[in-house]
Amino acid sequence: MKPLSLILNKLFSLIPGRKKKHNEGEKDNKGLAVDYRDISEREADFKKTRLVASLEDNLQTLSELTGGSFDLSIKRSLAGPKEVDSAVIYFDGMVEKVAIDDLLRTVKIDTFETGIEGLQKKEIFETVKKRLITKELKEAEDFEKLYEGISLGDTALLFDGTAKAILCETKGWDYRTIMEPEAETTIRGSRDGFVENLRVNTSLIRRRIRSPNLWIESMNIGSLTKTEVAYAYMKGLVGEEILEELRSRLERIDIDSVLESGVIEEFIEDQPYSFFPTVFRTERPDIIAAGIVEGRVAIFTSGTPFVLMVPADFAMFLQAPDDYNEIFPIGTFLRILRLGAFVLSIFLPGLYVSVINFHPELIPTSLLLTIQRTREGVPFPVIAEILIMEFAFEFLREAGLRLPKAIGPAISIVGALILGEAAIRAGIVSPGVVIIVAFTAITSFTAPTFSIAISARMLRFLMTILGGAFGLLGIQLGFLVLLINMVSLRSFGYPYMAPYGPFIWQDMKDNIIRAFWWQHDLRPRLLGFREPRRQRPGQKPRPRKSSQSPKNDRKGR
Amino acid sequence: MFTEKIAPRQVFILFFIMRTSIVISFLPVLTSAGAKEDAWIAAIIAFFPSAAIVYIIGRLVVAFPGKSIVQYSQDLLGGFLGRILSLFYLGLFLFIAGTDLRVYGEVIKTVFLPNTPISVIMGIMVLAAAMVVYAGVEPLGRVADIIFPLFLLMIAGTILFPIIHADFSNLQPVLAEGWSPIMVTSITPIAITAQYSALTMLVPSVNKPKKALGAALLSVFFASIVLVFVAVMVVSVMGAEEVARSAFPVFKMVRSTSVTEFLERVEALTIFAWGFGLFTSISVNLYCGSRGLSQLIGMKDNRPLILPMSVVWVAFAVQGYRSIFEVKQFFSPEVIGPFVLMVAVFPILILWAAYFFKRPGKGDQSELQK
Repeated sequence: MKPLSLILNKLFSLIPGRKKKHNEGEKDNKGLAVDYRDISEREADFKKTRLVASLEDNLQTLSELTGGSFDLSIKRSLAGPKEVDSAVIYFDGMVEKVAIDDLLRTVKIDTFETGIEGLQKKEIFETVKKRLITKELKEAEDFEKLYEGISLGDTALLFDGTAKAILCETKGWDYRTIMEPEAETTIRGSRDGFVENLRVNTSLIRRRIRSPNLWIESMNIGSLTKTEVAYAYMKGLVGEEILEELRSRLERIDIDSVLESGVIEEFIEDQPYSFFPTVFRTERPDIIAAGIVEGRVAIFTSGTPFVLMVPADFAMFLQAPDDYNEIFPIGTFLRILRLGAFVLSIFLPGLYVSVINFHPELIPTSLLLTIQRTREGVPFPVIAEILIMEFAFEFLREAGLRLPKAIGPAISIVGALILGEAAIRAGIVSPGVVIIVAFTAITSFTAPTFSIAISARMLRFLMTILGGAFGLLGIQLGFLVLLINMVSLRSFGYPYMAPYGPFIWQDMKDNIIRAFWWQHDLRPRLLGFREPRRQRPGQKPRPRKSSQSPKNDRKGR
Repeated sequence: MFTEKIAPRQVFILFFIMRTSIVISFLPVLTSAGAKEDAWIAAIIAFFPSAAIVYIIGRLVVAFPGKSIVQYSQDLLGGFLGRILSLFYLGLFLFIAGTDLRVYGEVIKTVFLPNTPISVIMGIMVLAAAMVVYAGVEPLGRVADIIFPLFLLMIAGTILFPIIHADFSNLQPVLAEGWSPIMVTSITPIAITAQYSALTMLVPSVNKPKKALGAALLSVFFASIVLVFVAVMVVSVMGAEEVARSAFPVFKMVRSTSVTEFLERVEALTIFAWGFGLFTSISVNLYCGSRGLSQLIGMKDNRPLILPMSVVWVAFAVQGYRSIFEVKQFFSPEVIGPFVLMVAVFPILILWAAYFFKRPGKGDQSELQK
């Protein structure tokens, strides 16, 4: 019977949700007691544990709680004339070495210069605290607080005989240098980009907006990662309802880990069921700064260079900093170009399929003949051709993204030669389809933000299928359904298609066209309602009148 | 509770698109009914009575802020009679949208998709309309905002491209048969103003109800201008006789247009424009119909009614007319004139009468104080 019960036990242990019962005092191969407490129990124990007066006991507890992690460094020294046992605790690689040296010096040497003879155990804590010259000092009475400090780069000072710890800010870890983000480059515009360090990121904004009304609040999200999330806004300009809403949405998040701002984004969206992003994100500080002075809120997440911004509207995703930095006609031209390219990148393959399949009479005769001649011998219907090529292109794009940069060019050779040339030569697809797919690809690359480009990528397939099924009628249905979805979207209560639908004439000067800077007298109407005026109107530059400048008078003649 | 509001501007756009698109499709009746070369005069004359009808339909609903015809007719006539009367209007919404739908289906079927069953074509459009009505009146207004410039461009293309083929001598002789045929002919565009009965349901959700009436009148004006242009163009391009014979003269005109070697087919513009127009018309009527019915039977939300109603509407559009000629017959002045008079104008006149009788007696009631 014994083997059977063993097998049964094994089987039962496979059922999830059943907690294994463990024998008390089980030993591992090193002869130590095996700790079977689960993570939530461990966290709870951690929270309960308080510091005690004995330094030895404290260090013992700490090493038990953290499993003696090897990056935890503990420097022991004797402080003061009475040689009080003390310890300096920090995580290696998260602190500035100079600051640690300073600390050690204070503890070891400065305590001798106090002049007080026979510094006692109890007094030494306060004395050191007074003499420390680091930026910020906190006290911790339990291990939770102590750990929170040192995991953020602080250094803890413990003294024998005191059930408290001093936390000194000694933060200083390495981060990537500030450089231009690869995915969002500009011809003319600032060349800095966000990095993974939250403080550096907020400083990039603070350097741009030097107003005391730029407020930055922060909170920790993630029960395990405790990721620092900060949001910046112009106090007095941003709608308080938006702030209130953002705060409540952020506080509602209950998750174990936040490793990227995408996690936050999905938790704070208004309507998750849409192809379109309703939270803006970028790596460029100039875009974020521009948004903040318009009355939006930027959300920084520690550990990622992607900064979120709400409320977002559709137009934002198709605007690039170049529009503002180059002269007005170019800015306007680029905007119209991009809008057109975006529409084409969604509809072009669908239009081609529907026209070839259902309405060949819409194409001029000579062009139609050319297309039909090249299609001769192609074994697939047009829609299959388009879908094959579109998928081939999607594969190529994904492959090119994942490949190491050194062999990246290889994929483009394969793509161009094999897929393009050979497929046509072999008569698998017609040249017209290749042109359409290539053209669509080019148009989709014009989108300045990646998040809107990928929406178009998916919608393209839907439109192709609709066009293949119902012709132009299907395309129109697709257009209308898309439009209905987009106009019913909201981002933090702000209508997503804002200046277009609802149509706001006043905001048009910054949407389809980009008017001169001296014409942007008013803030966007729905965002800057608290203080509509942005600058003094009537600042059109003009030369001084000739009567006021007699010097120029001579030259003019 | 959050109530959705639309702006007077959106009311203008909605009605402008609705009227322009229906007017373009039904132009033939202007000529076939006798006005012939003088269709454009009929178009001008039609404006004034149309505006008057819009005014009497719209003015009364403005007097009852926040109340639709279903509600204020019960205030004026009492529960039972009011309900009966508002049923007329609910039926009218169904009728207008169904007829629009049928015409659109017929055009798409003849011009674009000859092998597709007409019910599929209509079903697609009603689906889109049901979606926007489901989303609410606010998205409806916003969709209108966005498609308005597209619609304008397309209509402009429709009217302006054929100008190279225009022969304005076709417009002569002017007033060859005197005024009476023109008067008779203008009844049709006047009667189509029954579309504006949607005001009785829409105005309660406009944020400035008084301006909504002005916006509606403005839309009649601009749509009339478009109608005059279209009438001039169609007759001068094709000649009055041919226009009277064809089922959809505007499409025929656009189809025969070739601007250059490459730009031969501008009718896609017209079809798209009309698709937008039809979408607007159906969604406005579907919204009004479902909203009105839900108020009539005391439901709080009109959403559960939308899908069943749109199915009924497709069925009506398919079964209501046997062929396109029956539709065309319906739009001739001697049929549509009395119909609209009975169904749309007469009930509202009853309400006006009740309004005038009640006003002195119950002058203290807030909703009656203008």
